[in-house]
Amino acid sequence: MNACILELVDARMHFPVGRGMFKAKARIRAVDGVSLQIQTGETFGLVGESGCGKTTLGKCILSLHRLSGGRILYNGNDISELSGRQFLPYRREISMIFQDPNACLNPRLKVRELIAEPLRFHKLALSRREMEKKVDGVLEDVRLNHRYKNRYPHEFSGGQQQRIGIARSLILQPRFIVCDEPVSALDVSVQAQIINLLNSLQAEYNLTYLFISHDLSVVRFISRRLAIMYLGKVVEMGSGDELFANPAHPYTESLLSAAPVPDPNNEKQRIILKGEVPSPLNLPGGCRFHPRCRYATDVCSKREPELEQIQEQHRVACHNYREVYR
Amino acid sequence: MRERGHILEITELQTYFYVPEGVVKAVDRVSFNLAPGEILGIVGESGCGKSVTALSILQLIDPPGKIVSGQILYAGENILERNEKQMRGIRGKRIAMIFQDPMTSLNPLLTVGEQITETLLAHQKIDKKEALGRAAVLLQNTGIPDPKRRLKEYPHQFSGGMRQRVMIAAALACDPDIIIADEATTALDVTIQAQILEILQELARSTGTSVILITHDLGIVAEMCDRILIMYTGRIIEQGRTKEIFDNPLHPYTRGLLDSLPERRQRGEQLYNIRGVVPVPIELPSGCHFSDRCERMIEGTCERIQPPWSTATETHRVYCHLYQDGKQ
Repeated sequence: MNACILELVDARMHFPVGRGMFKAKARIRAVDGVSLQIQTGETFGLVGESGCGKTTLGKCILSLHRLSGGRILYNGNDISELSGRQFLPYRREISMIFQDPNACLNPRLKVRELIAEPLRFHKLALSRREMEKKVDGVLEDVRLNHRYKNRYPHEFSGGQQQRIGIARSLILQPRFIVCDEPVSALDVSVQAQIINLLNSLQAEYNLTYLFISHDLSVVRFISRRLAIMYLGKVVEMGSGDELFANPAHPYTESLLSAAPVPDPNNEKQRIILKGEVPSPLNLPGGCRFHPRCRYATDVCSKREPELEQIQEQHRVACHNYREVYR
Repeated sequence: MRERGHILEITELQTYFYVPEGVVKAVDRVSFNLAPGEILGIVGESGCGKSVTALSILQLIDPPGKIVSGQILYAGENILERNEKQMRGIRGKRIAMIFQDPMTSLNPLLTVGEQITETLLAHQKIDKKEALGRAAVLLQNTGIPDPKRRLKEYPHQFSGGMRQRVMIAAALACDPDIIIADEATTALDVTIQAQILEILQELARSTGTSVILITHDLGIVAEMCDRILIMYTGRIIEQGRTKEIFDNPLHPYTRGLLDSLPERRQRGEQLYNIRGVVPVPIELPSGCHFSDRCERMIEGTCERIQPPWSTATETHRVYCHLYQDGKQ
């Protein structure tokens, strides 16, 4: 059994939003009591639609947001209370790959400067030659020709830019990488290249990924275990195989049925959800999903369901999961 | 189920962009037909010319772009010969378009009601009150609750999915024959996307409106479309019925696209990589544009000579040297 590299314990991230001078401050409960454990060397998938809090959760792990409650344990140490300076050593171990490579690469820096920037920031006293060697090394890791290192980001295609982004997050030899929708902006064939790259890097360096995506097919392919989020809460968690074969939460069921399948012979029943995701400022009482749920009963609007274990590796937060899970 | 005849027939359409670096053949001898009530998918990766094809149909190509040659027969008439004023009578009324990002195509300063009735008032002889009534019905049909009140609201008061419904309602206002949806659901969440696709599918089935669905998502075409065109660097390289394309893809590019889908592989396997990258549009090979990436390239032929169209079945055709009369 692998050791647990990262653990979230009841993590909460509430953002205060102003509503004028005399009204009480409202809170957006972006992440609202998420607990999960990620094992060393695995890819853990985090799935949800826009606004469900998946990116906020990723940013909390990197201490880009300070949790409003709960804890984040990295190798057993609580890192949620650390100051910016105290967090620095962890910043070398935990890095992030973003969705839009074009937006996160400074257009005025050359590729080698972009990639070497983290080395400089962390003042890893390196000679010029050592630094160049490191940059060449990660360029090779991400399968980019080192002749390109004097070019600017705009000279590259989307896929190549994403490779540069990955090189940047690899240069400090991290152990844990938060991948926030790393292939969502890419074309299908380029997406395949990047997924293959992420997989082979993981095997080579024993990396652990938290893979955040709204694309179920990508997550199913890349991660063994995953969690489904809805409005700041994990509604279901388990192994990918189990979740896809036997979803237990009505939301998971409808997500699976809504995702288009590239096979015209697949005659599945599409479950069309009613309505839209409610505003996080004005969450429905009880289960957050109940206004859109076709299995909702009285209890759903009154009491919030807890995550309960239904299989060794499978947990769900639903009062009526037996209606879905068979 | 289908009527005979085509509502749209496009022959040898060529749209070029004259940029300082050279001529970009964004749409290069594209020909296809569209039957009434048909949902046709145009699939390809960024820059393959699928959007320019759509914009060419509506003649919305601005300089440095130009429709160089070809024929676009709408209901038997070549609309490329129409002038701008006559085209305005077709756009929005007979052929409507839904764009990817509703926020950039809706005017933030006008209420939703004003924008939907704009099309109606421009094309039909009705007064404002009547138009608003029609707009309310349209919104209702696209699944927006309380449409009368929402007509008075502005686009920013709508969510992404709701805005896309407004766009659909505006597109449907004049009961067009053809709706072109250009990546209309790409920016939406899957559950909302499913709702929007359902509306479009229902529309084609019940009213006989033809839909051209432009997307890069092979899942969407598999579920929605009757027929598919696969485009690569401005050309159609394969076309056929949806089942034919998915069950028996012929062109190496189509095969590569399907093989690179994670849905078709098990976890732990490698995804198929199409080697190389899409060539720069002004440095295309003189033969088959895919030749430099193709694993089955025939040296001396593919990169030099333009491939022939071969016919596998009456509906399934491929633009590749590997096939002669549909056989390898």
